[in-house]
Amino acid sequence: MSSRLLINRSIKSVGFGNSAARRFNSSVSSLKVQSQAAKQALLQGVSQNRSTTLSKKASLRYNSPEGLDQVFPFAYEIIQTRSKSLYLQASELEKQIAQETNANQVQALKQQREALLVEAEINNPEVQYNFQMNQINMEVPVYRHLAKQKWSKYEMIKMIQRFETLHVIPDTLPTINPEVEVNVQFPNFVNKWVENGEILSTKVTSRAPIFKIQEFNEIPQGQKYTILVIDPDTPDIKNNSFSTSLLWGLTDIEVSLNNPLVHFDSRQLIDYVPPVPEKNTPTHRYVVWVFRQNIDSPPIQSNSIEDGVQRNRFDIRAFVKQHNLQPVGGHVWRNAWDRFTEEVRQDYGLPAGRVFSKERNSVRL
Amino acid sequence: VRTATKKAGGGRTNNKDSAGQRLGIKTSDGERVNAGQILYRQRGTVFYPGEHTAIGRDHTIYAKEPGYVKYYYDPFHPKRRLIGITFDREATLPTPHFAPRARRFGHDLITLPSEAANELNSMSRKEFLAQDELAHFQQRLTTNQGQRKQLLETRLIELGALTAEDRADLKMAVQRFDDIRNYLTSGRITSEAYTLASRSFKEEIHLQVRSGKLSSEQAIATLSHYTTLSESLDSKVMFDPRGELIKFHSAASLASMRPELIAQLELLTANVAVKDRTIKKQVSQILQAP
Repeated sequence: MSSRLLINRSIKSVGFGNSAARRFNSSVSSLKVQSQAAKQALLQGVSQNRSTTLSKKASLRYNSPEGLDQVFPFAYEIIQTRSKSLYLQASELEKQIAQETNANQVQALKQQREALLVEAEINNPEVQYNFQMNQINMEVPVYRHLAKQKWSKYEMIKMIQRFETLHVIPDTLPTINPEVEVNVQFPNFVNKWVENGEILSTKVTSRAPIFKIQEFNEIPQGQKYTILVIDPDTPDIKNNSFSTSLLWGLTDIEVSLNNPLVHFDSRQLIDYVPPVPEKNTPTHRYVVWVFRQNIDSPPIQSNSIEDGVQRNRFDIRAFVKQHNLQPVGGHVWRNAWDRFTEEVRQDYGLPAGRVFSKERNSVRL
Repeated sequence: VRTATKKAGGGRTNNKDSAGQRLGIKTSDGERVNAGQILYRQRGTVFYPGEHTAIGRDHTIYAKEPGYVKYYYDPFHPKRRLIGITFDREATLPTPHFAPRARRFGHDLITLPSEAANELNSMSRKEFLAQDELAHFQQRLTTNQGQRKQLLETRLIELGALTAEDRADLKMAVQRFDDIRNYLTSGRITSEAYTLASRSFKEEIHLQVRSGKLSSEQAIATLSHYTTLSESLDSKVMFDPRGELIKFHSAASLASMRPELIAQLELLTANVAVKDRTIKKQVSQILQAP
């Protein structure tokens, strides 16, 4: 009985949400929920749907859990107090960073500061709501952190698994340490981002795709990216094996955290040649590799890849080494010969495809 | 009769065995084998399948590729003995972990043109049975596309964006707006749809230049004409939420129309206790406005 009285008195004295000292960082609008109705429901709870009817619709309407309305203000106050102290620590670090001269120390301090900023806002219910509704600004550290966490838990693992299962690594590059999320779409035909390893029709892949390069850390000023699209399953009749061919190369690409779409007019190393697998060859993998260009390296010249020679026996490992590229992400899709392939060849003025036997020779090496 | 009789009580014997199953090595290290040849018979996995080998239901290890048999260890799979196939007599296993796999193509090239054509045209039973249906769908697609384009053309002329005489311009415009509508109906936002339509047209022109159907000068002329035409048309017509072409409304005029439409909606929905069909119809009419 007395404890309930205590709680009631405390609710009156908290003055919920009107003390500026306890608030989260209210100057950054992307940390706040835009919709007033949603904000109210989030911070004051939903209890108006409590009805005594037995109708199913009424029971399906959301209500805040019983007793939460009493406890929430206290929890919110605790979180805000903690957030305030973390912001103070972060501003102390900022002063240190301003005075520090050693570049490595500055980097370490900046990372510490970012971690503090993330910790300060990660328990903010408005931030969590915004992230769930995908109304985020990737320039803000906490949203970047949440996005990276989400990607690492599922999509990144799935992408690595697909790369391993399809032997993209080590057939193309030795291994992958993904740092960016790469997405591919063929917008002329389907409004869908391609899943890793998906088998597509040659009609869909007959026109150049678009890419998204989503970084999860701050992008240094002037950072440029290169994209290579290769086919490691081109038949090599002379050696009775396979060789890699280069389908498309883009370079000097710049992306931002909030606009990861690769610009349509990015500089091309070579024109796009569509996947045109030949009849009875095994299903081809088409691998998109995304690289960070080294800031000190000169830009890649288009005439370093001559049409016909380099396109057809492309040594990707040598190319990466020569131009000092760092692989940070990738994607893979697959194509097989189908009824559209010959038409696509005609569209691009390519010669007619060869035809191979259905069965593989079991004797000849 | 002096016959031996001994009444024995339940004696047991361990004198049981079956014939030897001829397990073990069937091909030694370094032997040349063909695909399918059995390499090792075993109970359980005494040896594991390595490169270009596979394991059967009774753990028989057999070759999947022709080549030379190799018995080896792989640090990636510790405490396991493996049997693999190499394509060179001198090659060693395991292949370094980060090196590309050795692969054999194995398909023979069909050189005779008639055989090649036969192979190209061959189809599975499923595909063969579906030919009629496919032809039907293809025909329906082309007729629908033609009809849609025809309707777009008449609509463009109706709205006064173009006249019936500029056939070339009409064709270009119809193609563009058909593309834009396709992008919109597949769920894209308006700006995306417009940029993608322009991009796809530019791509087609570049493709025609590459395959020699168009010269570079013609291409440049066509592209510049397209840009001016699309700019002029985008200021004359636009798409409404249902995907129909309507007269262009600027953002300012749309913003000014909004309050009176909202007021009308509020009037209609003010005293709704019963779901009146006429009210619903009127509301949906308002919601269709651009």
